[in-house]
Amino acid sequence: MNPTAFLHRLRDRGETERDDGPPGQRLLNVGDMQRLRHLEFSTRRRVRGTYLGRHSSRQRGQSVEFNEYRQYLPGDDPADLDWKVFARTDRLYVRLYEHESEMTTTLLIDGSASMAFRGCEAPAPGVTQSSSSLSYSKYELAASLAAALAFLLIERNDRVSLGIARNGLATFEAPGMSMTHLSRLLAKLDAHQPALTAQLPEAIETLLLRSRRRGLLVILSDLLDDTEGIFAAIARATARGNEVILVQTLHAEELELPAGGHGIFVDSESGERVRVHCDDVRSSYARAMQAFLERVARMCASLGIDRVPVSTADDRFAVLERYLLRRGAERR
Amino acid sequence: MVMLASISLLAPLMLGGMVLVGLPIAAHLLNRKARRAVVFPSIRLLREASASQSRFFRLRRWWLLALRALAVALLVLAFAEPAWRSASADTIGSAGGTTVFVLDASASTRRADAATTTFERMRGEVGRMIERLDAGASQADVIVAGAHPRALAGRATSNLDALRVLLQETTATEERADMAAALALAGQILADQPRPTHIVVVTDGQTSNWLDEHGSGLNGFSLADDCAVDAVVIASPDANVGLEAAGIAPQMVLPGQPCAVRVRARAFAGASTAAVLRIELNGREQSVRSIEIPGEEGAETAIMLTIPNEGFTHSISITHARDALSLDDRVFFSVNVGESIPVVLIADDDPDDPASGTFYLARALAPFGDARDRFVPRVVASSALNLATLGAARVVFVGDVTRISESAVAALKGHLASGGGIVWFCGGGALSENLAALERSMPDLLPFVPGAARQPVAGRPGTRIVPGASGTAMLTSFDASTFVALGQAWMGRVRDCSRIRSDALQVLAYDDGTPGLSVRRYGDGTFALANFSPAPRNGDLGRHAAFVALAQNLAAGVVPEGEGVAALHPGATVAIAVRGDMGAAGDFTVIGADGRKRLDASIIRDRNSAVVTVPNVEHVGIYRVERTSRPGVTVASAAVNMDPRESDTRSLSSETLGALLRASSAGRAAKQSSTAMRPNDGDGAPLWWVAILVAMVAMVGEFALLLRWNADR
Repeated sequence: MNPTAFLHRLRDRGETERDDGPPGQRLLNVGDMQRLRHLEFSTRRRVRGTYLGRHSSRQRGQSVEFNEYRQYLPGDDPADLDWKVFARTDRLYVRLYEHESEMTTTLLIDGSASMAFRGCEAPAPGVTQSSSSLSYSKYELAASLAAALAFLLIERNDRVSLGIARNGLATFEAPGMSMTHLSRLLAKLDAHQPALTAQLPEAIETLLLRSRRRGLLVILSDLLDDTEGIFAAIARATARGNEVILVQTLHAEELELPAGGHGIFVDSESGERVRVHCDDVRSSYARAMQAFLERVARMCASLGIDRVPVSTADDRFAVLERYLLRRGAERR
Repeated sequence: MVMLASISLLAPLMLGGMVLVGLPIAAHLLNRKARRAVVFPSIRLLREASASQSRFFRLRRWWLLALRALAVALLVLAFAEPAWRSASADTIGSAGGTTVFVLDASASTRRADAATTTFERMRGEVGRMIERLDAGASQADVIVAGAHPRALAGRATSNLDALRVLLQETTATEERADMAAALALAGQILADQPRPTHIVVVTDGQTSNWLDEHGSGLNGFSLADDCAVDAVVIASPDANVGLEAAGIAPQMVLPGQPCAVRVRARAFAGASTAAVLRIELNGREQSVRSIEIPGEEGAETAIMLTIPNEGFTHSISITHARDALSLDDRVFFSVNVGESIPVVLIADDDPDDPASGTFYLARALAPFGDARDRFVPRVVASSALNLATLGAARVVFVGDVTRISESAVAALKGHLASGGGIVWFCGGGALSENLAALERSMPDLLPFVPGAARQPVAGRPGTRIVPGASGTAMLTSFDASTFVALGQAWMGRVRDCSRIRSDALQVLAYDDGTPGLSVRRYGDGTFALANFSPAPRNGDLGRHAAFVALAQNLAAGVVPEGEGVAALHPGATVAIAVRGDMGAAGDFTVIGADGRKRLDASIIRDRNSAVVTVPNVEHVGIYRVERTSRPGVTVASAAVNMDPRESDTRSLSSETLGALLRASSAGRAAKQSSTAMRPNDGDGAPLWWVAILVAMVAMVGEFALLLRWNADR
C-alpha cells in the first residue's frame, strides 16, 4: 500500500467512524498526515543501509561518490589505498566514498506511569471522568509525535521500528517501511497503557543489542526516570555511531503548577506522597523545573544530540515542523 | 508561671469562650482533610521546591493558624477582664508570719457582673492569696466582714487547706459591713501571733463602708505598729438604681383606711434614668408607676394604697427592674393594722414611783393604759440599752439615767442614724457626763449645752416657760391656751445654757431667754433637748395636764409622720410589737424572710403588749409573727430592707483607702506594704486593653505575613 492509498483508506474510515474507531487515528489522523507530508526528515550522521534511500551512509570502499581521503591506518584494506596519491606524495591514503541509503529509525517511547499524567484535575485512579474535559496525556503526546515521525520516515522509504519502555523494553516492533507496518505501529502505540516505571536505560541497551546497524534513535520521554542513567545509555548509543534525538514531552501543569491547587501529591511511579500547596511552591518549583530542563539541555549539548522539548499545551505538529525545518537547514 | 500568677481574671467564666479558638483550628483541619490526592508524574521536583523553602515559610499555615488562634484567644481573654495584681499581693505570707484577710461581705458585694458577683471575685482573690502563702510557715485566718464580723477559723491557723474550704462556703451577706469591727477583730487575732503580721483587706471599696456621712474614716480599732496592711479593691463601678423605703403615713393605720407609701429611688454612678415601679399589696400587684430618677439625690414618690379590712398585718412591696444589685431593687413595708406606736423610755428610776419623772412621762404617753392609747411606752434601763431593746421605737425619751455606757451611746447613735428621734430631758443623774459622751460620739449633736442647774429658791416662783421661735411650727396641736397652761407649770431646776446652735429650732424657751426645748436634725434623725424634766424634784410640770399634750406632741412630732418606720436592715435586731391577747408564754413563732422559723427569737412582755425580738436578721423581706397555736395567721410583721447606703456604688480610690487604713488605726502608724490596686479597675490594673491590643497585633501580623508570602510566590 502506498502512502496515498493509506491516506485514502484512513479518510474513508474517519468519515464513518469516530476518533476511537480506527486504531491509532487518535494519534495521527488524515489531516495531520497531509500537514506533515511536505516535511523532510534528514539525518546528520552517516547511517548504514542495504537499500537505496535518501540518507547519507558511510560505507567505505563501496560508494558511488568519492567523499574524502584519510591517512592509512594499520588494518585498513590495502585495496582502498590510493596509489596515485602515494606516488605523488609518498604517503599512504585510503579513499572514502559516500552514497545515499535508506535509514533505520527506532522510535523509543516512555510508557511509564508518569507519562499518563493528564493534569492535576484528573480524577484519582479508579475514578472515571469524561476524557473530553481533560487535556491529553504526555504518553498520547509522545505517541502522536512518534506516529508522525513514523509516517514521515515510511513515506520516504525508511525503515522504522518501535519500542515502548515499561520496566525495560516492553514492546518492540521490528523495522519496516510499509504503510501496513505503520498501521501496526499505530495499533501498538494505541494499545499501550502507561504504567510502572520505564527503565529507559535498560530499554536503550536492549535496543542497541537488537539493532545490528547504526541508525537513528528517537527517544520520546519526560526524562523524569533516572535522568543520569538515560544519558549514560544515550552516550553509549552515540558512541556506537547512532544518532539520537531526544523528544522531551512534559505536561503543561508540570511546567507550571496550576493556581490554587493543593493537596497530597502522589508520585505516579513510586507512590511516595508529599503535601503541597501549589501557591506556596509555585515559584520555587518553577525554578527547580527550569534547572532540570537546563540540565537536560546541557547534557544533550554535551552529547551532540538534538533535544526537542514539547508540552501538551503546544501545537505538537507545529513543534515538529519547526524542528524538522531547522534540522534540514542545518544539514544543508 | 510568675507572670500568670500575677494576673487575675475578674470574669473567669468568660474563659468558656475559649472554645472559639477551636474554630480556626477546626477550619484548618477540615481544610487539610478536604485536600485530595493528586497523582503527579514525579514529586522529585516538588520535594526540591519544598525543600528550598525556609522552614518558617513551610510552616506558614501553622504560623497563620497560631496567630489566628492567638487573636481569638486574646479577644476571649479580654472579655474575661484580666487584671494585673500588685507584686506585693503575690508575696503575702511568702516569708511566713500571720496574715488575716478581711473579706468585705456587705450587701453591695452581691452585685453580679457577667456571671459572677463581686463577692465571688473577692472570695476567689482571697483563696488565691491563701494558696500562695507559704504552707507550714504561715498562719492565716479570714474575717467575713458583715454587720457582725466573724473569723472563719476563730484564730490564725496553719491549716490553710481547711481555711480555703471554709472560705468557699462563705457567701455575701445582705448587711452593711462593720469594717471597723472587722479590723478590730483582725487586730485581736494578730495580737499574740508570730511576726510578721499582715492584714489584707479585700473590699469593693464602697465609700459608704469606709467613710461616715461626715466623711470621717473608721475608728474604734487599733493595730500593732508592725502590722502591715494591704487593701485589694475589686470595685464594681457600674450604675445602680436603688430603692429606699421612705415611710408610711399615717403610721397607725386603720382597716379600710388609705395610706401613703413613700419610696425614694436613687441612681448612683450613672446619669439620670427612668424607673418603672410595680406596687404589690399582700403579693398582688396593685399598680405600676413610672418615675424619673434625677441622680444620686433621688426622687421620692408616694403611692396611695387602701389597707384591706381583713387581716392584722399587711405587706407591701415595691419593685423596679432588676439591675446588677438586685437586693435594692425591691423594698418592703409592713403595716400592722391599728398598731400603737412603740416608744421607749430610757430611765434608771422606778417608773412606778410617783417621785420619778418616768412615772409621769409614761402616763403622759399612755394615759388610758389600754389599746386606746396611741403610744405604747416601754421602759428600758440605761444598762440594758442597745439597738435590740430600742426595737421598733420611733422615738426614745431619755429621763434620769446614770452614766451610760459606750454601747448605749452607740445604740442611740444607731437610732438616730436610722431616722429615729431622741428627746432628752435634763433631769438628774450624770447628765453632763452623758451629754459629753454623746458629743464625743456625735459631734455637734446638742442644740445647746446645758450648764449648772439653778438652785430653786423656796417661796419664789420659778422661771415660766413660753413658746419658742419655732414652737407653733413644732407643736402643731398647741393653741395659745395650751401654751398658757404649760406656762403655769413651775420649773424649779432650770439650767443655764449656752446659746442655741443656729441650725436648731427653739420650740420652748423660758421667759428670761434661757432655752427650754430645742430640736435639731442630726443625719436622718432628730435630737430634742429639753431644759426641764417631769420629775417632781425639778418642778411640777409632770403633774400638769399640759405635759400630757407636750409628751404626745413630742412623741408624734419629733419624727415626722411616716419617717423612721422602715429603718430595719439586715444584721440588725428586729423588734416586732404585738398588741392584744398575749396568750400563753412562748405562744409566738417568728417566720423569717426566707420562710424559715427563727428559733432564736425572744419575747419581752409588758402589761398589755409584747415585743418579739429577732436578733441579727439576715435577709431582706418580711419577718412575720404567728401564734404557735394558729399557724399561718400573722399577728404582726416587720419589714427589713437593705441599708440604702449599700446602694451607693461610688468607691474610694486606692490612695484614699490606703491613707484611711493608715490614719484610722488608732495609736499606730500602720504600714502599708503596698497599696491596693486602683479601684474601679477591678482587681488591679486592667489588662483587657492589652489583650485586645496584642490580638490586633496578631491580626496585623497575620495580614502582613499573608501579604509578604503572596508577594514571594
